Amino acid sequence: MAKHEEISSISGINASKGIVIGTAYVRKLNQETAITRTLISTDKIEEEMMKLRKAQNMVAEELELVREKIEKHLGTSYSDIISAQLAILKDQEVIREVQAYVEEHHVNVAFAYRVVVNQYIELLEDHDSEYFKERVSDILDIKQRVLLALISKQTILSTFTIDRPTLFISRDLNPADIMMLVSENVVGFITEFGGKTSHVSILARALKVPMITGAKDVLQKVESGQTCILDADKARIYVQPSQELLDEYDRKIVQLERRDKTFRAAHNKKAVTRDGYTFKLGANISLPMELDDVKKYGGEGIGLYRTEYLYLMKQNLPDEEELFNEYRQVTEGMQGKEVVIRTIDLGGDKMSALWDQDIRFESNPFMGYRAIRICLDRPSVFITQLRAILRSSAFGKTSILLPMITHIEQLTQSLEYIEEVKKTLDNEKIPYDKSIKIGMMIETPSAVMNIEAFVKIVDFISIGTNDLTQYGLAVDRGNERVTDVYNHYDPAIIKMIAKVVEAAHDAGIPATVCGEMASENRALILFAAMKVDNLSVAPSYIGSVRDRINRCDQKKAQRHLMKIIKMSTRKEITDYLDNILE
Amino acid sequence: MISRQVTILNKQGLHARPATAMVNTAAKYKSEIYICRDEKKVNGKSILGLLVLAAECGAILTIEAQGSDENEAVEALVNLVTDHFGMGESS
Repeated sequence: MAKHEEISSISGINASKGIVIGTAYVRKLNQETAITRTLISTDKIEEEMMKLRKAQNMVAEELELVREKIEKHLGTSYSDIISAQLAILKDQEVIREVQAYVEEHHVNVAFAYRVVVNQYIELLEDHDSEYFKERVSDILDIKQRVLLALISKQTILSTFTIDRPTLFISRDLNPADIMMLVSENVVGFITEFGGKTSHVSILARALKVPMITGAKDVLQKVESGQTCILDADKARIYVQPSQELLDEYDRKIVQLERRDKTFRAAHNKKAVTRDGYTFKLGANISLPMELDDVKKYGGEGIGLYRTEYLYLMKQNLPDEEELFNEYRQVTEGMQGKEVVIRTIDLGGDKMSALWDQDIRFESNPFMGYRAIRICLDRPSVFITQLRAILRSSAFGKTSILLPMITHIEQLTQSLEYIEEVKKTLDNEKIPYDKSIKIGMMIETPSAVMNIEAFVKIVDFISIGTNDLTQYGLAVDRGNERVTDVYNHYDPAIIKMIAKVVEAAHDAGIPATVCGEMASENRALILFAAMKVDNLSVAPSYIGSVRDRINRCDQKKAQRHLMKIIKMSTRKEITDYLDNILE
Repeated sequence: MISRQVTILNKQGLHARPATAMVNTAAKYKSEIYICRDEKKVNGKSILGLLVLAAECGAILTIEAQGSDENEAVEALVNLVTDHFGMGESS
């Protein structure tokens, strides 16, 4: 084993799992491309302006390529961002000002372009509004592309025609960057900013590209050309690792690939324990394109379809048709296997540009304007989504899942909206599944304590262990200072889950676990013991979870749980579980 | 030259997408088009100009046009703004 502490390493947040080795490419947007100011004669002015037009055309072509990719992988609803970038690129006022500058000062066009665009950037940076400040990165991006095209006659993509796998490192990334770079030999992403739940991270996971976000000072610590290991599973980047460590990782990667192959080969197998208890093992997805993986690993349905992505990506509220087209791809694509569509769980750490400033910057967002609370406050948003979900239910078995329900009235009110939408669809003679099942997420202590009342009303329940742990232990899961408090294996959390599953079974309805815990070996023993009906995990975890279940014994697990439920500390519980796993 | 005042009605203000819509609409007309907010006056065919206005919800803008199709241009731009830039915000 190499001594890892001696090697320069950087830590961050695991935004999309996986391990890759590659050559770093560090994009420093703020760093000015080397431009010299050269004087030109009057008769060369037209020639200079011609250069700018050529450069703009090159960049426009590149952006059109990105647009094609986005539309192919994600759909036309997602390409707004490219239209805005093209508008910035072709801004005729900027071109006019550049021409005026060149004519007045007799300088080269690259210098003039930089001066003019920088003036706009300064004006935007002065604003109080966060939104307009954030647009600076779009403009910087276009400026960089145009200057690169002007000076080296290259586009960003053409700088990647190298044969070595590249790790793309930058301050931040937008979804268009990811779509553009992925498959152009870029095998991993590292950013200085951004979190696990940002829309870029969701996209990276859907594309199965390893990504680390929140890597502090990575732009200073890594230089283009250096070899790096990106180990997203450990949320660590090793810069210029020793040969020993490289060999170790090479072996690890081969091993992981072999494991993955076995899992894919087992896609037809049931998630059944040694003594015959069968779970239904489904997948959590955010985007239709993830269906490929769900099929590859043999997901028995979509246990949780998160619908926030379209709302996060777009600058306006998606309309019914956009939503319907997206959902239909999934319900139809699963060919009759159940798809549980969760209504929007926006808010908390998934803020949308759609809300007002005062809502976007709440002091306590996880306790604030979130999920069902938004829907019941803005019925038109809720009804639009419900219509799209119900319409898509005509194309494959679909269920509706309501998030963040804390009291009965929210549930009954939501059910009234669903009934209302069904009636309008009846009147409009639009087909949908009339017996569509409706469930709720269990993720707050209030839902747990009042579970007996909830299970009488809903058709199924789904336990979101991440939020249940966060709310149950009153611990912010994004706050590094209190990460030791956040623990699924706290006796309080295990008792909550056991209570909920029992209440569901007493009422004769199924219970799903869809949080991160569902993919943890320790927790699978507990869930087998409780006879949880469904588990839902990220597509790439389906294989390892099934494998673990196949080696588990339900009756033994039950005996273990009887002991565990009497334990009073988290250490006792984790030690006990780890002991069984060995 | 004609000019009309409008109020930005969509919640997110004149951000990238509506600004793009505004520039694309303005570009269809031959007239010179200017958008003013307080003392700032920018070319209505320039997205960077419009972004610099940082017009949030409730901001009052003056749309000016001068040229052969000035009436149609102002009419189209006013409609675009009052229609929430076609972004369908009903609630």
